[in-house]
Amino acid sequence: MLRPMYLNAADVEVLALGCTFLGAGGGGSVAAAAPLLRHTLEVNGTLPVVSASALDPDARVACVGAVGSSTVMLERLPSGVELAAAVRALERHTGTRFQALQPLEIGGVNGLLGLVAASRLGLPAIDGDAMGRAYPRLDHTVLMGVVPASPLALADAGGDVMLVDSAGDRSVERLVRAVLPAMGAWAAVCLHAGTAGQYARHAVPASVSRALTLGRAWTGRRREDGADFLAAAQARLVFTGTVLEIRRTRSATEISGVISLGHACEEDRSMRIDFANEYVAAFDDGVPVSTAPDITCVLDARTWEPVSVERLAVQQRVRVIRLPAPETLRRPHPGRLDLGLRGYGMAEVGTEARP
Amino acid sequence: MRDEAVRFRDLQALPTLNSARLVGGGAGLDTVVREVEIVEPEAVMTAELPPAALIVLPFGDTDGPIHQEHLLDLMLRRAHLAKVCAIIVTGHHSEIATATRRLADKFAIPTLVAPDRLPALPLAVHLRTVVHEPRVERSRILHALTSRLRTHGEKLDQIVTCLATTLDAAATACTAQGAVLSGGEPATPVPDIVSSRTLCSFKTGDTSIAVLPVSGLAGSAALWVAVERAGAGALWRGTAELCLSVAHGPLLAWLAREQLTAERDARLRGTLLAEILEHGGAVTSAVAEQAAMAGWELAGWHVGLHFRLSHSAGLSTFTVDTLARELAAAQLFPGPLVERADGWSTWITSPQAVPADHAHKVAGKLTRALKAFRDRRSGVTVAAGVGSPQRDASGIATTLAEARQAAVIAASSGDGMAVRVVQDLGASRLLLGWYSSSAFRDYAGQILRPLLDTRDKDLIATLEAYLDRSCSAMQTGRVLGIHRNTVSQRMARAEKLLGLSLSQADTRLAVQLALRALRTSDLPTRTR
Repeated sequence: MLRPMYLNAADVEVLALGCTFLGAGGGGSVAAAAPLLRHTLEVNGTLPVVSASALDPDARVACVGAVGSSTVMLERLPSGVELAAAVRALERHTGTRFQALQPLEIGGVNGLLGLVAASRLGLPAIDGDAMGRAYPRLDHTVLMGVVPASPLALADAGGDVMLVDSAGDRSVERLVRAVLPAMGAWAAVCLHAGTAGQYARHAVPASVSRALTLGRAWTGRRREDGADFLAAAQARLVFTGTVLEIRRTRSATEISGVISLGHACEEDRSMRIDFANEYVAAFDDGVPVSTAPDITCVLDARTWEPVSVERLAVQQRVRVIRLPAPETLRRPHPGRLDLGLRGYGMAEVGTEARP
Repeated sequence: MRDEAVRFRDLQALPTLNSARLVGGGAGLDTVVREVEIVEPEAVMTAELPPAALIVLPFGDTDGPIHQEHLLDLMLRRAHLAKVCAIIVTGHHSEIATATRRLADKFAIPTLVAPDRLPALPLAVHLRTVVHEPRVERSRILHALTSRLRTHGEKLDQIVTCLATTLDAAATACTAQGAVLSGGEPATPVPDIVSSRTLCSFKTGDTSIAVLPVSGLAGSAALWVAVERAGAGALWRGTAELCLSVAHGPLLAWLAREQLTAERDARLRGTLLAEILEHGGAVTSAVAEQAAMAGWELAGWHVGLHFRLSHSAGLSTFTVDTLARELAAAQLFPGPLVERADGWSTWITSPQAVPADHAHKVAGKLTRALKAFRDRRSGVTVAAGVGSPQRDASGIATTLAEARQAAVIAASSGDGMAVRVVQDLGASRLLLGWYSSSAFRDYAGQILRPLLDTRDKDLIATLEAYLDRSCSAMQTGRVLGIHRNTVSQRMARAEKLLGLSLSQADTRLAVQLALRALRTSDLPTRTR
């Protein structure tokens, strides 16, 4: 796609919806960033969104997003200043100007924040991201092992900026998590400074377009059974039923748990959904029907609106759909963490039982 | 021949899996287990699953991923397709999700979460041994029981505890009358337990039970020992039967010792009582000392008690013990009961002079105690007499004699349970001599012989009732629930048999007295 796509304020609603779908029930609420992106686009005009391959292969690019608690972000709202500050700090440190910016993570709030940064700094946004969905860790990116995560810059809403000059890809997550409490639970981050050529080869392509397609498919659905939406979104409906139980286990470092669903029509059929920050894997009577990196979404049965992990409630009537993961998430690469079940600390399911 | 196939229920009942949680698939508990296999988590999708196998799924390997519970769902699905009979998960701490429980229920595959820290390999080896060689496991249990009995096999409580511990069950020892001598009240109704004539095991509802009747010196079963366990299967019942037969020796020894001691004590007490009754106020200090040791007070005010007990199926060794316990429960604390020719005697002693209605108060408590005694033991008839208060050793003979007389009168009432106080006897005391005189009893036997030879119980009962109801055919008919013409017919028949006419007052008196005498002692009905 050589011709750039232009994004304006009117697209924000469908884009936000698409990002929510790609968040797989996690990734943080887009409510914190949608008005900000709309306002930024209204002020700065349309934002060109280009494919990384359309850029000069040597053009300097980086990923932008937020890291930390998305719940706190709903209280300490982002203003866009911190995002710009993080980008500028990394530019100053590396001594280069970035020619385009890419969202770090397309799933959830980060899908919008990367575009806010590009718009604010007057740079084109790259139609891609480093995760292809939502992941809970900073090192769950496809750029790991290709473009070093550091140097990276962190900036918080209070104006504090922190630079990590050099950190191993394995240490980045640990270091950043350690400073987050001091920066107010969440911070803007700019990392993976590299070239457009590297991004074109390794980043997840066309993520922003995918989010838009998903959002448009949802808002444009006409049929009661959702068949048109599912076809347009390339999604598969895997289960319809009622939430019987939500078992949450909260440890100091991670959120996890299991949701049990009873089927709407067949009384003895059940589904088990293992979740962390996102829905991770769904098993229909012991058959894995959607496992990470595939994107599992739980939708309200009546309104078809996506329901996040923390808002799901017992007795809710829901539909479970599977969105295929970008192919690149399945490809192992030296230096990259497992982006499947193992990445969530879950035992692999193996492929044999796939229906 | 016993079915030797091991079912999952049998394995679940093993002590090793005692605190394991069954999370689902209860409908499949009786599936036969033919094999035990360990399937490592990473092989859940690939391992070959033999049919009728029990799968041990070890979770919690520290090097592996943290979350493995979803593998159980995959395993259940595969197990269902491969007709696996059950799954045991080890090393799992948290609750199993509802979806997984529902899946186990749907496929009826019993799924057990083994207690924390139970290593999979020894567990699998143990289960495999039980499945392939149930006798090895049985021997292990029997060996454990034998070792326990060797050190703690003397007292009944110890033996019962050994059985309970070894079989991981509730054990109880009770008498034919349902008195629990050791252990807790059984879940199975006592009549079901004591109806067992030989070592056996059966199942009532969900509870498996094995029962061993232990015969006393008299030859009939005097003690029943039962072990019960909920949810256990045939394997456990078989093992329980074997354990009971191992415990039979110690139990028999205990029972024999107990009965011999009772016999010896009874004889000692009998001699002692004879001494006291004979010498009255002039007992030697040695006798007084022995009496005190036997639990009898000689000084103070005494109220004699006398009991006449009988049971259609014979009296158990423990009946008198139970009676003593019932008396204590009703706040009556007499000395030990001593067996006499026609029953058991004892007395209650108060250190101070007693009020005039003392004997009646005692009788009231006694009535309560005997009611409770009879409520728990159907078929026992009991008649009790209470003597008047008498002072010191010299008075004991008097009050006991009175109590005995009162008991005879009580027995003559024909009720299942009767208590009489000697002070209330009045005119009926006059008849006592007749009732208890052996000469008259012989005469009564002679008069009534033609009637007794017919063995027509109805005829005798009708005659008795007719005489007691002032020879009114109508009232007799009402009491017995028959027509007055039937009464008249029967009386005519009785007159014919006896060769006497009931219209004569003397004849009526003689026949009525003879019938009373017969009822007071059932001697003539036994002799032919």
